[in-house]
Amino acid sequence: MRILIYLFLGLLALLMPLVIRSNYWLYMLTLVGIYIILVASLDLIYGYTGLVSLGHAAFFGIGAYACGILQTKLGFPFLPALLLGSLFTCIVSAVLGWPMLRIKGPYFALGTLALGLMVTIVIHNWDSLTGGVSLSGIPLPPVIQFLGWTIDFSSKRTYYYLVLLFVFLALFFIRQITHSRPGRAFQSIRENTDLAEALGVDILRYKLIAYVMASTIAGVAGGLYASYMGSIEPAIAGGHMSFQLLVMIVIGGARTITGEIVGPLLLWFLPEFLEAAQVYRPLFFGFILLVVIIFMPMGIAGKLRSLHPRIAQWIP
Amino acid sequence: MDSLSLENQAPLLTVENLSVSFGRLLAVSDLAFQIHSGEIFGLIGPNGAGKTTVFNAITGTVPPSEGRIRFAEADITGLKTHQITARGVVRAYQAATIFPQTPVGEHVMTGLHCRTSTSVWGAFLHTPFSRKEEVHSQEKVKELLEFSNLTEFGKQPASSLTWAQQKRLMLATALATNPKLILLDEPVAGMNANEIQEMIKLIAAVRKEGVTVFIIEHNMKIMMQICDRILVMNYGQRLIEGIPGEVARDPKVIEAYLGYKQN
Repeated sequence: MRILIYLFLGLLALLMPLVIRSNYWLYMLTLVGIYIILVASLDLIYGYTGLVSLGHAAFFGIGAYACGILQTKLGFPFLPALLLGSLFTCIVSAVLGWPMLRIKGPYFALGTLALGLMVTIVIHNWDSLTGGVSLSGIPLPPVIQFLGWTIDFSSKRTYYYLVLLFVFLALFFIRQITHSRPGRAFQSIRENTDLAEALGVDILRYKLIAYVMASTIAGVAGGLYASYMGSIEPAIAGGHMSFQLLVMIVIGGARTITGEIVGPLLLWFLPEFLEAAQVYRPLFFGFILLVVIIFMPMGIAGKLRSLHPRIAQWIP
Repeated sequence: MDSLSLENQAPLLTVENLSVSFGRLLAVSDLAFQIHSGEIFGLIGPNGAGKTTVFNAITGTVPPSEGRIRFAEADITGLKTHQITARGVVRAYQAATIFPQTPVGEHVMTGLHCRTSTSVWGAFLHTPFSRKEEVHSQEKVKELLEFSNLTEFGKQPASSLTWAQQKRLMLATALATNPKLILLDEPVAGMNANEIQEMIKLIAAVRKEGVTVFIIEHNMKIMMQICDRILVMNYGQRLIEGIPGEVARDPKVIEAYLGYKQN
């Protein structure tokens, strides 16, 4: 049943550029794709493992800056920069996660908040490396000649497909992991940490696995973002960004692929349609968040699933 | 198994001079006992006697201030809880301690964690090994659900079960870790007569499978019925140890439970 939904959604995403002719909307959709990768990775930490991270964007920022710096300052091409940048994010998250994940509950949340703050401050002040207020001149991936085809990433459509490939990969990866032994370990930690430990789950180890995987995926999203935008600012690693991601997953519905997609889509496009000025976005976020938390604590996907078991079958 | 053959075997669990203190409060003081392979061993005592602390010390959730705990001839004092579980000592908590939203089948499957080894990469790539392991896990879960009479609830969240069913679920989940010794924390508390009989049958079946059972329970009648040997604690100390008949008649035990005998 769900395989049909996956196929349908996949096809829809693939055909989207044929329907949408406007470069502006394609640009927006590509950014939403990057957000979907981010939100899905946060779901691994927040939804499955039950850790409230208020600093997930820090790893998005670290990935973006690492990839950006590798390309602008060290002359690496796109793909090696993306790989090395993600690897760097992976290592940083492991080093930071090792002490941080011993902290529990609200203290962990506060710790991650501080982490995001520190990362933005470091990026902002290390201007010789990071360019300070912004790092610009990050090139697009080079043109690829493949069997007579020319793949040129300066086209909005091509970059959309590049991001889409990573969206598919990230969602598939997370689905596979969460429906298996490691995924059950993550969930057992969220459900009842003491019992999980008593049943032989190494709590710190599995928290760390979830945290490092999610952070690395966020780093990849950062690399995609850096090359797409061409210039990046320290704020992408900040608390506001992290908070947005958390709002997206809560509203969309944690532990569901639907939620990981609907959350970013909704919070990205609704303000567009409302034509609200940027200034009112936080207000809008706050309002939606309140309504959802009160009327659908499991998010939109959770609410839909709870309507009827038949409907639940169709909500991945 | 008669007592003679028990004597000849090396004990499965040996607790030596165990003391646990919280600040200045001595919860367990200089306690020593042995549990042999294949027996059902009971620990009783009035509220606050330190029974649960003994469980906590054995499973590594509370560090002993003194003494050693040996399991299968290896020192397990100071090991982490998950390491102790991997060695074959598991604790079935009271029913309030479950994974509430987890479907019953998956709940039991979580217990298989330490006996399986599919990694993140195995899960992602769906390797033949991980698939085989998953199929094997499903079979094992099916068996355990049948054993604990919960088959029909496999897909329901654990919190939707009744109290007695949740206790059986905890037992099944603990058994999934393939223990040599299972610690049961008040397995029949809060149950009606029928449910108690069902649990007693289950505990007997567990022992028949070769798992040694260590029980804390308030229901004296049940303990007298199922235990091979009983240790009585009071104020953190050993009061007496023996077969149920002896223990029940011992004046010290009667005094601990009922206060001084009148006249």
